[in-house]
Amino acid sequence: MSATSGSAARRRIGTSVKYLFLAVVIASVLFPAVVVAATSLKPAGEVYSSPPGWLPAHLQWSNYITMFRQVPLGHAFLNSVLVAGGATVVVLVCALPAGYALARFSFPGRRAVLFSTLAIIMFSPITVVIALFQLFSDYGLVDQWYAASLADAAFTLPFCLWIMTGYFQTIPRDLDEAARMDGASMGRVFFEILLPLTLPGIATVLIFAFVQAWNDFLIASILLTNQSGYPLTVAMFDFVGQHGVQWQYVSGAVLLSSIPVLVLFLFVQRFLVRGLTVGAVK
Amino acid sequence: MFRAGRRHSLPYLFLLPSILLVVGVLFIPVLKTLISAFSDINQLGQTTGFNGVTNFRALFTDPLFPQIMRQTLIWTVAITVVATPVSIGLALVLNTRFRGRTISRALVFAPWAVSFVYVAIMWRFILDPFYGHWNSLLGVFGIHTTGTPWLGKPTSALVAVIAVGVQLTIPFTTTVTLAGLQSVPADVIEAARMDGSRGWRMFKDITLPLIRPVLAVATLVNIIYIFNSFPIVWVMTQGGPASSTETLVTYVYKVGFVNNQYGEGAALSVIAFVILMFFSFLYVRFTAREEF
Repeated sequence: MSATSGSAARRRIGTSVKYLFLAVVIASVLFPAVVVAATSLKPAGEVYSSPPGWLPAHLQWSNYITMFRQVPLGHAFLNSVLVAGGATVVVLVCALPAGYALARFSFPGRRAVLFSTLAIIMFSPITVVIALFQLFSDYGLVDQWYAASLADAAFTLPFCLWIMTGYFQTIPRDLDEAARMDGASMGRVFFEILLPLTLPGIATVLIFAFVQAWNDFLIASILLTNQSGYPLTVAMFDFVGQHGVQWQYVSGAVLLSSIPVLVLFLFVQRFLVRGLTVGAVK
Repeated sequence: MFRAGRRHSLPYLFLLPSILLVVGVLFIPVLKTLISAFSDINQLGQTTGFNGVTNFRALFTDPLFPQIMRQTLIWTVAITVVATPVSIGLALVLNTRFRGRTISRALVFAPWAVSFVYVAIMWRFILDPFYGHWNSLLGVFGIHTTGTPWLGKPTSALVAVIAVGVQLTIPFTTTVTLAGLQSVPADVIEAARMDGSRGWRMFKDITLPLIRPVLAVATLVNIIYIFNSFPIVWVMTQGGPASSTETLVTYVYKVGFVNNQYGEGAALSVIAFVILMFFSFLYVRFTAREEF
């Protein structure tokens, strides 16, 4: 009797500890998000009180309009769209046919390509930025948004190609062979049978490539040296470094720039995790 | 015959865009970095000839170099060691059934999608000596710290960047570990439970061995990410104060693009490259699939 109530009590303590732990971690992970949201709606007087209060006493929604005059948002937003959009297109143009080739053909060098892809997934731009800058200057590519797109694409490609190859491999070969028997050309098989079936994979790669480029800071800060060409991340860093930075506008801008990619990312979370742990999670 | 010949070249044609991109943006710069590391390059970026190991010697005789290597090690190890157990615990909780599980999972994962630049920018504000919320938070516990330059003192600055690093590592590690836990067959757990296995013992003897491969990959990927991470330190402290938060990665940037010492910067890049190659080798070993 006492043993059962003892274990029940222990279980109840265990459950409380579990929730407490979960709450603490989630609270700490969300702490900056709460500060951003609260600060973005505070009047200047409340932002610059020491120490600051948690929630705005007075909600100043007009911050979200004033902000656009203070932070170079519009222009930087456009640059981010160009750079990230360009990178996404480049990644798709490269990864789709390459993934198809690696999944459907056997040819000398296939293993070497797969192996190299895996080996450079973890490759970081920092090891080549200096040379990349010199190389791109030699060809007059510095300060061109598409140069940043190309560089972003190159660093994202290995992972995207890996995911894409995996996706093509999940589609039974019999399917395209049957279509070929019926006289469909290779192009038709690719566009009308394989592409529609790999749409989740394509969406994953597309969103991953876009978000990576959208969030990139290092490549953009090296290749885009002109203020008018700054994407959001670099523009925001630049803005914060200036004197008399107005945190309520920075907060609003950070929030607005993060929400779209956050939504996109949550959509493909499951597929990305599977891709990153290839082989380890069965 | 012609058809056959054309078909043989087809896969290579499909690979061509990828190969061109990777060669142009990765391989050529890697070669260029290797050459630059052994060359004398002036402040304008003009190469004036090979100089042997002069760049490396200049690095190794600089007292800053061992300090930066030590900090890079502390940065990488501290974040991994703190974030991994927390993430495993979190994944175990998120793998149980409870109300609000779906939203909790989304909340835990969400920060990974946000640019580290923005998170770091916000932490810079949170740690502001006068207007930051960090002081407000400590104030809740009766600790009054208004005016403390958290990012202006070497120790607290290093702790701060590491803490933010931990915070940004947890989402990824947790999600991957959770995926590993979900792949553990329910009947294995059920059988262990029938044998009287519970709590910590169940975790240590049954769950942990089953998710070890996932944990290994997750930890390795983490180490690489953290080692490579640039924006957290750069945005919060730019390596300061007095180089106390400088890591190899921010130092490469500073030597190359702030001091314009391209030769030494390239030598540093080569060192970073060699370290990364080692980790990449492990990554390939861990993840390479059967069909290789």
